[in-house]
Amino acid sequence: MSRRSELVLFWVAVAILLATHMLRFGQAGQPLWFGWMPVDFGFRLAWVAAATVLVFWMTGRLWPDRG
Amino acid sequence: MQANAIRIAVVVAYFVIVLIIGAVAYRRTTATAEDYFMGGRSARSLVLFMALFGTNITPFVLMGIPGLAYHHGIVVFGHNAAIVVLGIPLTFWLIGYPAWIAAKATGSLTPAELYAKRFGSRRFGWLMFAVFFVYTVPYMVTAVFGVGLAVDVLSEGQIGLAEASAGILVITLIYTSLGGMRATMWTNVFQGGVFLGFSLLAFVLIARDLGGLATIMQEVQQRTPALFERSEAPPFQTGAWASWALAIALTVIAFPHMMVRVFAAADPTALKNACRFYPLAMVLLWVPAVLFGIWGTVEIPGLVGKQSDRIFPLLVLNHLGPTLQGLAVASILAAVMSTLDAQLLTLSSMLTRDVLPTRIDERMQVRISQLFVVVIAVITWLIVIQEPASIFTVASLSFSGYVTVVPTLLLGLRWARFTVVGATCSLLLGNAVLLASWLEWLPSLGLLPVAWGLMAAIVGAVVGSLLSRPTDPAVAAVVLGPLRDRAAKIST
Repeated sequence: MSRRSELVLFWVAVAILLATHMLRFGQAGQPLWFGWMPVDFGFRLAWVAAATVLVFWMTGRLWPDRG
Repeated sequence: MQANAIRIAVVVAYFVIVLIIGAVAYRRTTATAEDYFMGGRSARSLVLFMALFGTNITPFVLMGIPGLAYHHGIVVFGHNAAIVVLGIPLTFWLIGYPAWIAAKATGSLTPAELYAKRFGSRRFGWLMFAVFFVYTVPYMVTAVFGVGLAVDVLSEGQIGLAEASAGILVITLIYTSLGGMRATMWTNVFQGGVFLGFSLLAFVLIARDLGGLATIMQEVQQRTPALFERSEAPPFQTGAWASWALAIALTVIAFPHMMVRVFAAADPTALKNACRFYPLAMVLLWVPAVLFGIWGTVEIPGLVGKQSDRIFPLLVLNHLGPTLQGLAVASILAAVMSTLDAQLLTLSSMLTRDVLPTRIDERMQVRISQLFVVVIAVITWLIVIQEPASIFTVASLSFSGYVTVVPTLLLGLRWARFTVVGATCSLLLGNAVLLASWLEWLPSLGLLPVAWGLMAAIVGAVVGSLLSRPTDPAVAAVVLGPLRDRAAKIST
């Protein structure tokens, strides 16, 4: 994959992640996940994990190494 | 009385360690401006990360966020924490990295100095200094006010807000004015460790004391189920949610004290590693902060308005012994001092480098800077003792103001056609619209003032640049030249 294609793919992934940031979830009387985790909190932690993957992608492949 | 003696002993031990680190840094610092303000541009991964991260750890997180979560619940985590995990590394890459290259190549020590060189206009440096000053002082006020509140609660009223805030300012002044950037970065490594360590320890111990994580969370759900529901209260409607995401993701790179620390990086690897460390560190920082606020509703119900800013120290007081209470004060002091030192040093360096006449020699610059640090500290203290609005409210005004600088920071490094007229229009229009929107002189249409301020800053930048004469290529090349050279080197 060319660098340009990879950059496009990266920014598409960023846009998707930013769009999903707008999603919000209520508990609606459901039990907490694992007995302690509210649904929205679980979603946010998953979101953070996805963001972390993007950060490692960015720093590992897209950010030039030579200082 | 004995409990108080233990708390004070722990805090004194913390102060002694900080001052020792500051003294060692002072002995290593030479009297050149580059060394005093930049620590010799030698910060490697761990020191740089802790210095940057320390700047993120403020009473806004430790006091303001639990206070907000107390009223609004789990939604506060998504509202504030998640987006910065992506926003901070992205802005470090897009703005921080080229700014680091250009600052190193031009010998710039402050953001205002770098952008004044970019446009060949010292007056633009004054304007940037003014904008940064206006938004940094309130942010410093939230920091010092937060620690004053915490000490007031944890000393059970024996040390008041005025005394506590004066004490922290004096200690911070000593090591910052003597040791400069090196002292602030080295102490930040220790302070970040103290803060994170205590925060996690308190999280585990308080949860255990409340019957365990599952027990307390289920009790919250039973008593106040609204804290786990999707909130449509004023800060959380769709437009406001998107606006705040914009604010909190973009604001950090525009903190002048953050940008200066980016300049101090030894190499790009240090910057990249700092980005990699951020996600985990932010989770460790924010999860306890939000959950403390939520748990507090069970333990101490009925707090109204900004009273909830006290919820974290109140929980500490109820659940931890005097040694850990002393450590709590030390960790809050660490949170405050790690930001306050950077803010004091950066404002003073901007004054001496960007505002005062250039003929002043470097030794005199350092001395004037040390004096100016004292003046800023006194101004901050005088505002703090007036007991301003809630920490979240004051901090959100500062964050919004910094966001209006982002178009200038980005376009100044990445758009050759960007002119000093465009940059000036961007700052003036962005801040005028932000202020008008904040005062509700303009219809919000569901968005927060920061979104309108940012849009106005972008329009001002583009229209002002296209309607004005291009910058002399030789002037722009001073800053943009090193960036082009770097891009060419990488593509070969």
